[in-house]
Amino acid sequence: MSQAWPVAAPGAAAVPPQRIMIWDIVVRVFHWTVVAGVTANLFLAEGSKHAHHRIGYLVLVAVAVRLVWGLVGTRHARFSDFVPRPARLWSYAKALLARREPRYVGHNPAGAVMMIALIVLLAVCGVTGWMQTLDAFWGVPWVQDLHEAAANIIMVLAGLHIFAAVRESVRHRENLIWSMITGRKRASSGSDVDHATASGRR
Amino acid sequence: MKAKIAKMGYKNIRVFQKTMSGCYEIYGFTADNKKAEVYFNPVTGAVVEKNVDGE
Repeated sequence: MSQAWPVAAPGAAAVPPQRIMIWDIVVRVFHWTVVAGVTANLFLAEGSKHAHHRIGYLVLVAVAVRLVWGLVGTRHARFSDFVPRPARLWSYAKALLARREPRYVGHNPAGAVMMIALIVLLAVCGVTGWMQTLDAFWGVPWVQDLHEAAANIIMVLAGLHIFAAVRESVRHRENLIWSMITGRKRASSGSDVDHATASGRR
Repeated sequence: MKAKIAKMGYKNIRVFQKTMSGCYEIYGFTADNKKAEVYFNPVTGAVVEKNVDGE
């Protein structure tokens, strides 16, 4: 944060940096629907079959909407905005290890990989869950195993995601969890990257 | 045991396994073609728990 903000007159509160809309309403509703649904199905509704199924279908619908929104949604919601090429991911990973990673206003490359992994796993978990309700796949072990494995990996990755969100919040001095509620983040400045793929492609 | 379970009307049994507690567990269908997951007492063969679709 090298450039100066407007200097406040003595005694007056400093002018806060501009906060701009990054996560639109679809992205935020998707995020918290998945959080609530996954939490409920992992820890609360496992015993209640009907609730577990309904919640699972709701999450599947949310994933489907998000996939479409990733193509037609607002700028930072689009996959083309944040899905990194391997080279970009690699350079970000190196910078991360050196603790010199740039701040991204949208998803950073590591976060983007997490999004993709979680979306794929949610889809696998939802589809294998639904398959078990069909006569054709009832009791078929690989379907059950895949459903359970996907659920467990989601749990682990969600933990990692929370850890990363808190850590990045501290590193870049902004509350990312609150940003996922309000949709607003600090506008880019200095070395921040606003458009993840601006220099990568397009 | 399998024969005993078949006699009780369960058919098309996909999975027949022993659970950690020692019960037998099956995934199959009831006589009227409902999906069923049933646990049996390994000694007496009595039904310990059953989850039948729509029941």
